[in-house]
Amino acid sequence: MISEDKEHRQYKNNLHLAATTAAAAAMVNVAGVMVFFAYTSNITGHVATLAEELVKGHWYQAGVVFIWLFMFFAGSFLAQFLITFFEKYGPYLSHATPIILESLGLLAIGIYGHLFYTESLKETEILIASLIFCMGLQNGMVATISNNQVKTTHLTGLITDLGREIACVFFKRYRTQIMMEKIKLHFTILSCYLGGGILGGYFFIAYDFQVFYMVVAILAFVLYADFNSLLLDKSYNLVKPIVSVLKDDEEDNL
Amino acid sequence: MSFILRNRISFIIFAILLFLTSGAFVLAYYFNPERMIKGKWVETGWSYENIDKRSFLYRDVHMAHKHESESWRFLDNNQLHFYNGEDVAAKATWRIKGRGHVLQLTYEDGDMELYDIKELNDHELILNFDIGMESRGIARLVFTKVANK
Repeated sequence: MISEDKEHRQYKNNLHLAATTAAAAAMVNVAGVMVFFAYTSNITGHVATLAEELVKGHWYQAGVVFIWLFMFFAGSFLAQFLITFFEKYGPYLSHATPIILESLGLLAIGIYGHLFYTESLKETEILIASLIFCMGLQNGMVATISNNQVKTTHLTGLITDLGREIACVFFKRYRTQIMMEKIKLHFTILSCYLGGGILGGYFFIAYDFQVFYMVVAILAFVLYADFNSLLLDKSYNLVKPIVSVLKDDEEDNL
Repeated sequence: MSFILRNRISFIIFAILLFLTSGAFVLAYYFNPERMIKGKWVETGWSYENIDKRSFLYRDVHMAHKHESESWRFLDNNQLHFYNGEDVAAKATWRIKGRGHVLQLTYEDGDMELYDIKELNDHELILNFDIGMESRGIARLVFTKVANK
């Protein structure tokens, strides 16, 4: 999912990354709405809200929404910055850094919410800002890794693309394999987002803030899946010379 | 940090962001809804809107507690007292959520109500009984502030 760089990425890498991160984003978004009454993974609505609050002269609300918007920007900025900064250490480490940071952030939010949250407005606003920051980090990371092929924290653009792509399917000259792959990718994101949202809502009702530990578990799986295959590759590279020597010996004996 | 100071464009962007963020924090502190809502508010209006237009919403309006009280007092410890004259008629716990636009009341019997804060300043409080993220303007309560404590 994350061990391939832009030039060497395959379709399935993006598909797996999209499915897991879309589910994680939806769980965070639904939990945020249920506990804080604010969306945390899609910010288009916040831009409209900012304009509305400014027009009404609600400076407090406008200030809060401005900070939330800034946090999404900051998350995306940091994701790109970290990936570029750690590029020299290989794609896995540079791509994993924002995910590790996001996981730590969500873990901290889960622990704080579970053990210390007193429902004050200040806490609520800071926790929403932190969740929005994590989602900005995730969206920036996924967009950078997939070369802008995938964005998983909001669906406006995705449903627009899906509508256009399905319209194209009606015309034979556009019914290419690439087009079908795009539709499959977008349907996967959509269904994983919906599934993640339902699961997030269900687990939030049952386990409260502990739902964020499940999101961390999904992100840990993303890190582990590639780390494991990377280890296998490295181990194979280590034993490869011995295997080839053994093979040569066998051939000589024959 | 030294990179930001050396590069003029980075410095300007950083300065603008710092200015805007500081301004937002100052405004956020001064107009804090948790500070503004504290005190005694007298109910000057209680109306139902839209119920004739969409009958299925009528049922939801009745989910709201029928407030017989004349005034509400929001206390420091997140307690809310409903007054009938000088007597406390009922009690609840209040919390403000979201961007300061949702008032959550939890009654002593465990019932919970959500209100959309349509207006909150030093003189006026307008609440809409909230039955969902997208449905607004069903039951409207208008208050005027009579005491800061």
